[in-house]
Formats: sequence, structure tokens, C-alpha cells
Amino acid sequence: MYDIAIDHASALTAAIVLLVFLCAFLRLIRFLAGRSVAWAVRLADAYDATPSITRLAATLMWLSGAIHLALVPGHDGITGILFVIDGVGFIGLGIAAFITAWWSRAATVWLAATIAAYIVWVVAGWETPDQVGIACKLIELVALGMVLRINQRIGGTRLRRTGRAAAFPLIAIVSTFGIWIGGLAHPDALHAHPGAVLQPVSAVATPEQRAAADRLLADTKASLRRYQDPAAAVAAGYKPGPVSDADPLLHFQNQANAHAILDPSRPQALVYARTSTGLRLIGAMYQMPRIGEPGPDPGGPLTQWHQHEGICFSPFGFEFSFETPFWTCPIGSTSITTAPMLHVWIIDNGKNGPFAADLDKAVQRELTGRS
Amino acid sequence: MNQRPPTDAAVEIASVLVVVQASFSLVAGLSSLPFAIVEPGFRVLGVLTLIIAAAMFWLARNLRRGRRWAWGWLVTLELLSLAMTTLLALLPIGTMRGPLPLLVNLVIPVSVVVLLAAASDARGAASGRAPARERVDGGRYQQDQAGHDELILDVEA
Repeated sequence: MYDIAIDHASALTAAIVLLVFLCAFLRLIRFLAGRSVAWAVRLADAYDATPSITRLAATLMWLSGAIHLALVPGHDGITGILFVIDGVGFIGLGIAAFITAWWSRAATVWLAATIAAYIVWVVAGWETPDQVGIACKLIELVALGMVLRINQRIGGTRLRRTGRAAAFPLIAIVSTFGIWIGGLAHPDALHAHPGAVLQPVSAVATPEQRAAADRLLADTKASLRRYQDPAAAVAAGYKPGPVSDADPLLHFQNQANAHAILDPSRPQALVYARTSTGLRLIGAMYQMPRIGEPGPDPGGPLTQWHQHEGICFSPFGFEFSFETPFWTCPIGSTSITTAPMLHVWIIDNGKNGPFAADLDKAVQRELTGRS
Repeated sequence: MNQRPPTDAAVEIASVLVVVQASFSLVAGLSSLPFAIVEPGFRVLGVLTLIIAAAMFWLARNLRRGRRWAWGWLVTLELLSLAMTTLLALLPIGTMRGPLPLLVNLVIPVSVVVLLAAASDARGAASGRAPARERVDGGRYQQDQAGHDELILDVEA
């Protein structure tokens, strides 16, 4: 669900370059301090006198600063200006951590404000959450945890310390749900629905692509006639998947067809609707053999493949929930990405059409009595 | 200023990382609850995740207080987590895609284990420097006034 935006890739490079630079700079300082260069000795002493947790917090703030500055060219207007201010602020606070006593409270405010601003931007739809943005928030959350810990060591009443201890989990919860809500409320064009990503295609179908799509539909319909009775499908090697109360559809899969590619005579799965009168065959599902292998789309935008990702599957059958933006699932469940798939609905699929990722809700309700 | 039990840098940083992990587990548990309405399996997993999140907060707190059992439980939990992550990463199910899952599921647990191991080494060294302290369990721990096991840790500046 969360990929890496192309214009955000430079931030990863900036983060790696910064870490290499910091390591090299530290070695240089040590080398010069060993040769009694005055300014290097002062820097080395300041570094050595700083607690490890403070050094780590400073490094994380520098990382966030470098990421923000690297993202400036791809962000216009107020977002770009705020990135410059944020990046410079983080670098300044990282330096201040080694030479001032007041830095930790300022860093707390700066980190919390940056995380809050990101949530506002994502929820408002001004920024699409991707792995770089979320990883940056992870870095800031860890830095915030370090800074809150440093503040906590300074002291205060029991109530204040308890408040500070509860602040971090609360910020983490708000951040996660904020990113989640923003991402679900403003999905990019390739997200058909939460948990499904569409394979990119051209915008308009050519006459040849329309003819190919019609041919695929006709061939699939002809091939599926023999499987109207589920017993015939089972006899042909298809095995019903797990039944879930949450899903009124049932997929019968045939592992023997795993390596066939968009072959109407050998679809990987048959889709049945669980109606009040029994199972009714409503479509086929073609699937590529491997994850990340794009499917052939003879119909161009009419036959758009999709894959499911960011879904946590339960070990108790066909049950799932969504992975959080920080890539965590409930304990015991597993995050799974499927190989690309293409549904071909052999019934009238309403406004979604015969190759949609999902069965039309109205059609599903009519068939199964459930949406 | 309040008097706090002695702690060292590695334990302090590790405890913050454990709190980060616990917070993410808390969110994962909460996020599964809407699905648990129709999916009985997620009722179990959601509640289990919330319990483990609460346990991790508690372990992080007790790690800072120098409790050796918290150290042991956390090392066990992190190693289990790493083993599961490695296993899932090796399976062709697309669990680890991109830098974010690597950071959350690999880098943070490895960092916690390394920090806890470093803390253990520091304790060993500290106990070697403090022969007057009552030494138990191979010299790595002492008992506090209430009789609880306390890690012998360096006091950071």
C-alpha cells in the first residue's frame, strides 16, 4: 500500500550520504584531536562529554533534517518552504544538543510539531504517504522518544513524569491513525481500494485492445461453462478456499494451473458467489506465477491487473485486517503480498465492468444479500 | 530533583526503542479490533497483541529499573521476533518490501538486542570494578534494599 514515491528517492540517498559523512567527520576529528589541533580537541571533548542518548537523538534529527532538505526540490510552495525551515531547524537542534542545555525542550516541540504537520498534510490530501515519508516519521518518533526520555531524567513531579511517559504512545497512535486515515481517504489513482494496487496502464484503449478484451471475456465465458457445477470444478482439480463470514465470495484454486499465463482454458481460480440457493459461478481469476511479475494486459486499460498488499492474514482461515503504516500486523498474523491477478466476471458486473478488481457492490448485494 | 536508580546508556536507549515497538504493537492491536467484529480469529490476535504491547511497556519500565528478568524477557522476545521476521522474509510472500519494514522489523529489534548485549557486557565490567557489592548470578547482578534483583549499571553523566 505504501511504496516509494519517485520524487522521494533522493531522500534515501541523502540519509545514506549523511551517515557516511558523520562517520568520516568523526574519524577526522579524532585524527586531528590526536595531533592536538585545538578546535578538533574542543569538538572531540564536547562529543565525548555528551551522553550517548543525546548523541543518538542529535543524529536522528540530522537524518530528518537531511531528508527534509533533500525533498525540497520536489515540493513547491508552502510545503517546500516548510521543508527548508524544518530541515535547517533539525540540523541546528542537532548541533545545539552538543553545546547547549536548553536544546531538549526545543527539540520536543520541533519534533512534535513536525509530526503533527505531516499528519495534517496527509489528512488534508496535500501529501501522499509513502515509505520515505513514513520512515522519516519513524526516525522523528524515535528521536522524540529519546528526547522525552532525556527530559524525564531531568525530573519533575510524578504526575508530570507520568504524563511524559504516556505522551509518546499517544503521539505514536495519533501518527499511525492519521497516516492511515489520510492514505485511505486520499488514495492515489493506482489504489482501487484499501489493500489493492492497480498495475499502471495507458489511459485510453485502442480498437485492438477493445477487441482483445472482448475476446478474453468470450473465451473465459466459454471455458467456464463446464464449471457451473462446483463438483465439476473439484473433479478438474480446483480446491475451495477457506470460507469467511466476512466474504460472500468463494475462490476455488487449481495449483496445477499456477504457471499458465492468462490462459482462458486454465484459469488459476474460479470465483463462486455464496447465494441463498447455493454456489453460483460468477467469474475467473487469472494470477501471475510470481510476486512483482507484471501481468500481460491485452486490453490495455480495460484489463488492468491488480495485486493485494498491506494485508494481515490470520492463521485461523480466510480472515484479514490491514497492516499499519509502520508495517505492523497483529501478533500471529502475517503480512502478505499477492502475485498480480486479473478477475474476469462472466456475469453482468454493473458499472465496474467485466475486468474490475472487485465485484460491483450492487451486484454482490443482489446475488448474496450482503454487501 | 528525583533520585532515580542507576542506569546506563545502552539500557536507556534500548528501553526507548522497546517503547517505540510497544506503541506500534498497541496500534496494530487497536487497528484489528474493527475487523474482530466479524472475524473471530482477529478477536484473539487483537487482544493478544494488546496484552503483549502492555507487557512490553512494562518490560521497558523494568529494564530501566535494572530488573534482570526484564532484560531476559526482552532478549527472548526480540530474538523470537527476529526469527519470525527472518523466516517470513525468506518465504515468497512479499512480507518485506522497501526500507520501512526493514527498519521496523529488522533494524530496531537488532538494535535492541545489540544494546541489551552491550548493557550485559557493561554490567559484567561494572561488577568487576565493584567487588564490594553483593554479587549474584555470576557477578552480574546485585540485590536492592527491597530484595529485588538489580542490574549493576554505569551511571551516565
